[in-house]
Amino acid sequence: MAMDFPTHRAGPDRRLRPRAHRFVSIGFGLALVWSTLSVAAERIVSASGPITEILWAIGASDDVVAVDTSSLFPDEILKTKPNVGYMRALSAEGVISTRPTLFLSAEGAGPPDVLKLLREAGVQVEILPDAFSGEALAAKIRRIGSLTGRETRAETLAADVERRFAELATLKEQAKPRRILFVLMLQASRAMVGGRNTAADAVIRMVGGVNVAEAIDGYKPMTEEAITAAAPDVVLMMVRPGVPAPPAEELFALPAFARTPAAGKKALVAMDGLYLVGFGPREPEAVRDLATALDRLDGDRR
Amino acid sequence: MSIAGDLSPPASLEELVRRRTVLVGSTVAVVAAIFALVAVVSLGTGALAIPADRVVAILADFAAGGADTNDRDTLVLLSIRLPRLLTGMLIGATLAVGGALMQGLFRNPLADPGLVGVSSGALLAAALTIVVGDALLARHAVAAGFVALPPAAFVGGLVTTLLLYTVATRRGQTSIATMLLAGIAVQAVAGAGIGVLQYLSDDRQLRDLTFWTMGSLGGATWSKLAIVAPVLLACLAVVPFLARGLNALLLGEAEALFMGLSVQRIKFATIAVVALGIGTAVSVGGLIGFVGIVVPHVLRLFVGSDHRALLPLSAAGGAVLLVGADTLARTVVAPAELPIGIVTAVIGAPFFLWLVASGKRSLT
Amino acid sequence: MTALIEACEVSRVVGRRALVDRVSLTVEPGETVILLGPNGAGKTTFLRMLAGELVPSAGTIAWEDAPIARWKPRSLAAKRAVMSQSHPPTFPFSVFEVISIGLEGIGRGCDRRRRLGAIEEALAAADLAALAGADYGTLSGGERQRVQFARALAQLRIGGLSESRQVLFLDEPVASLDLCHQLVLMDRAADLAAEGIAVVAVLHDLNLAVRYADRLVVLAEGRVRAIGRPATVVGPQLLRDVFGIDLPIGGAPPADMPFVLPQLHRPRRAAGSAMDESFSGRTDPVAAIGR
Repeated sequence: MAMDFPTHRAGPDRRLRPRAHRFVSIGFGLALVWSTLSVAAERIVSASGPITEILWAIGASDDVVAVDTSSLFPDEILKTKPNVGYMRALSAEGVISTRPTLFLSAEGAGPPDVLKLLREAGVQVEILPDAFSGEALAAKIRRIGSLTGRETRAETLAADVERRFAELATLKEQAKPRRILFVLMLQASRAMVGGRNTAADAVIRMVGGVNVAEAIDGYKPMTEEAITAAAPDVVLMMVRPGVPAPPAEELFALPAFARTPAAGKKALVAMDGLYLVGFGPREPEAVRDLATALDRLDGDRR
Repeated sequence: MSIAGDLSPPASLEELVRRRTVLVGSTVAVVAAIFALVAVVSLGTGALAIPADRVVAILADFAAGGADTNDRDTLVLLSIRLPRLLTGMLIGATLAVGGALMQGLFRNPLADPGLVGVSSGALLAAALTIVVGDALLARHAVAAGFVALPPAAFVGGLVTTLLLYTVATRRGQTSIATMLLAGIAVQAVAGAGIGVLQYLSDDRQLRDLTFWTMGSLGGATWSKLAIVAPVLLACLAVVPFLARGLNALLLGEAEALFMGLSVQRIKFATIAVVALGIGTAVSVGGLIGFVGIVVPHVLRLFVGSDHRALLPLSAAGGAVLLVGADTLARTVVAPAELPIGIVTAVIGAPFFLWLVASGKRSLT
Repeated sequence: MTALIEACEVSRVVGRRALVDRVSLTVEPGETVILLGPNGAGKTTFLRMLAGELVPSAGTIAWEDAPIARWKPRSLAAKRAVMSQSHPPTFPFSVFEVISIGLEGIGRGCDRRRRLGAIEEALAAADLAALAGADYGTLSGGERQRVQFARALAQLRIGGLSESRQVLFLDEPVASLDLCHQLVLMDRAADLAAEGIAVVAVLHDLNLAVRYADRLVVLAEGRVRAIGRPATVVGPQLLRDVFGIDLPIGGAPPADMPFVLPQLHRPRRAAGSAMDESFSGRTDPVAAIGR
């Protein structure tokens, strides 16, 4: 039996016409070039720990040319990327020497003269507000996504973050209300605590706790009497990577803490600062870990 | 021997004078050469690598009047490095001369400008601005803190010096000994005040204050230079006129009086120049130590204590030291920057220790 | 002719104590007045008031009939030079520089050759020519005193270009000097007196004072106990009452104990220069420049 193979036939057929074909190829080629350009051309300086985390999470790590001293996660960043120093004491020439196209940082970056010089050098300077909630964090992630041309991955991450934060709601409902004091650091025996309008405050609320330092605005020192009067059930302490937390006995031996309810139960929880109050993509996990630690404390008591 | 007789000197004294002129002249030449070298190196060095021919080309364009600030290299060279170089030279010169002036006034090689209270006053004012200023200027004035800091430090330094001067001056005569003691007391009071402010400050303020006490030329812009340069240049211009008076004071206050000099005028002028100059320098650069002690000390080894040579040379030497230190500060941990006070301390302290331990009084 | 210096009932009271109590004195050109007295007698205080450094609490001091307060510092600096008790400067200055600085005030209008000449003469007079380039800080106490003396001399020389009738004040000028240099220095002062420059000195050594003074002023507890020529002033009563010593005047010690009196000193003057080679034993200063 002879097969009827299609041969070149004149006349209309279902394949694309050559001219349209050409447009599509050109269009596709342009899109390819455009996306390559917009991705390869980005050189990002990130002067904020949480922002650096987000950049890594959306796959932009190759575009990051320098970070600051607070960019501690993932661990290898500070070993592989140049460090521009403390974000409030930046060097204009130093940042410019990394030839960035985009400079990202949080509120308080400076000095202002340096940011001005960066703008003059043609760098896009974006200062992103600190996030204290799931919505704010998601918005921040989306913004970073659009600034770096990685909207898709950012969208995925943002949606995931929103979901994980929503799941925390049950945590809050089930939690026992505890009086919590967040200690940023101890200098000599003076404690710098987290008051309202801080990430620490937001975290405490998320685990259903009460921030006993609410009367204070921001991270400020708290006097001994005030700490005793605040009567926290739990002391939540921030530590830096590589620096061990003081043992509970030592902390509660200090006069400020000795007469708190927390002292009686040696209720001290120490967690990595960037992890817990950085409000990066790992935040929901950090909150869960905190909740677990708090429950364990209660468990120990029974 | 008649009074108006022949007073022509023999060859021997002429020889002494000639040798001294040669010594001072060659020291000046050497310092000038190092100065030029350091300035050139400083302009050409930094976190951003700019090839030498490019540097020359940009400078030539600048001199001709047209410079393309859209170009990154041009921006870094003309808007960052050049004002920084000039500011560093002026501040370094002022710090070193201030030290030499204080050493002459107090007749003590360890005296430094802090003795007239200007540094502690500036520091206290800076701490106040950083810690209290936030609360007063409220949230929307984040940048205002940075803007308010230099004038506050300047005023703090001047007010403190004025206070000290008033305490030490009775019936139109300033007692240097009283000034020294009162200065120590003032430093203690300022220290207590700063301690209280540190205690009350939050994390961010504490760090800002700490960085200020370590000094930095990072804030050197053309607009700041425009304000600061006239004051510092004026102070430096007045300094040579103080030289003879300070020489005489070194022999003793009574002796200077017997020579027919106005001792009180010399003291007042010296204190005023130091307060104004150091106050200005500190307001822009923060606290930078060791320049005022090390530079005059080293130069004395070469040219002795004659202030006519020592003061101008100290100015040049201070400029060299600070510009050199700044170059290091900008490159050692690039792309970050070391506070310059740390660099001068790391260079200055061991060197000074060695100088003192070796007990040299003169290299000639 | 008015007195060169006229001090009238001058007192200086500090707290409750009168360091100087109503002392009057005139000083004429060319005379050597020596202030003597026990410690704390007020000699240095009085000298400093005459020189214009301290202000009297009471009484008047006039130079050439004009109150001392009216004299401009520069004019007074040309009129008189003061050799204080030695202060060591803590900074490295050469001997030459120390003397040169002494001319800062009045040497301004002076040309360089004159200044160098005055310095050279002063160095020679104080027997310091060999030490011109030496670091002042390395000198002995006596050498430093000679430098201060030279400085005062240089100032007088330059001042003499604009003022006549000058005064040299010496405050314990020989305290650290060896005997030879004590005599050399006092001889130089006597030479100046011979030129017409008045010399007012504070001395402790009674013998030296007697040898060189035209007039002695004996002070005790701020008050004048005696003024006059040495022969009339020094007597056993004065020695007992003022100095508290009980020694005979003019007595010789036992034969086996040697005694040397400056009163017997006769200066030997070399022709032309003020250099006293025979006493110091030093060689020609021009050739001796080394340091």
